[in-house]
Amino acid sequence: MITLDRVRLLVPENKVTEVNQETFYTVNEKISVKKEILKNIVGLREITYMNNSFLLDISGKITADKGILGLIHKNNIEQVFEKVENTGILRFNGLPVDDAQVLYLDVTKDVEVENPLETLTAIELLATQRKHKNKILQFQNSGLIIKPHAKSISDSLAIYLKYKEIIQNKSPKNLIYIEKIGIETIEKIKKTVRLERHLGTFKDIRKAFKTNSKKIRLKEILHSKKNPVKDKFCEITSSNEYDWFTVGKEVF
Amino acid sequence: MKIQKFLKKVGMRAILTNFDDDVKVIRKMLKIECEFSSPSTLNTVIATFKGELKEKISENKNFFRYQKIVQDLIKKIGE
Repeated sequence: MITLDRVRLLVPENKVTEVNQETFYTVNEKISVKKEILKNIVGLREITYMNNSFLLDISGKITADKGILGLIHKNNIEQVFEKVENTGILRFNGLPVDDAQVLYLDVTKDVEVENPLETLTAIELLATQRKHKNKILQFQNSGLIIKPHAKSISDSLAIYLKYKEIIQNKSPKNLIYIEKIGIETIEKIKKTVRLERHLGTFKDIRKAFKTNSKKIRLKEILHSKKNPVKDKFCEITSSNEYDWFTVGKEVF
Repeated sequence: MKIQKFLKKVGMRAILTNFDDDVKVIRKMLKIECEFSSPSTLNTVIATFKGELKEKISENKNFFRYQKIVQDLIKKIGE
């Protein structure tokens, strides 16, 4: 099942029936929800009105609860929009799952491993095989991010220790998040490695989900049978089964 | 050509100290590092230097374990 840690969506204006105008401010002809409001809402990063649409930047944390880190998937997407409505900023004309267009995605997979640090070392070592294509950088002091050298491609893979990422973040919003999920949840994820494929352009999203759709809808992404995280991981570690060259006739 | 000279030429010295006795892995690394155009070219190179390569490979045991960790992770990501 496709799970998202973050998604930027474009919801058509006609799918929004009510807007609390007091929560918005205008700067440089951009109409956005005030930062002081957003800083207290876990999981909601941005709401901006532009080009007759509302841009919603939502994190999976919006669904966080005791024992649940919070990710967005096809089984909770309606709950995600309900949570946005519960903030009192806007109200939808029916939930816009079918109409929302995707602009940016973090496709995510959490995996439990025996030794998280050794796992990161192993990935880094194998990823160095493709150093001519990718660069390996530190990610928030809790793991790695593997990015292509080509600036035209925004498709990258972050691999990090979720536990470390949570406890190192001292922002007020993160403290509210920790309270929501509970300290015992953080203890339980000490062996969890998170893999996040960041897809920042339509071209990258289409390639990752093997789709030709002109407008990429949220529904199509959430119901996709593809596994973009696995594909990217195999690519960066040169682990593709179908690599005809590496499975060639052995000569030893 | 001596193996050291060959390795220097293709920039493989660092990598050869980091893998184990797994032929597929060796092929993979040779392919990536040397950018050979065909498997037969690669076969010729491996056959020419197989003694020296085997010796280098046996010096380090970590790579095989790392390869296993990554393969296990791929299985879990696929679930």
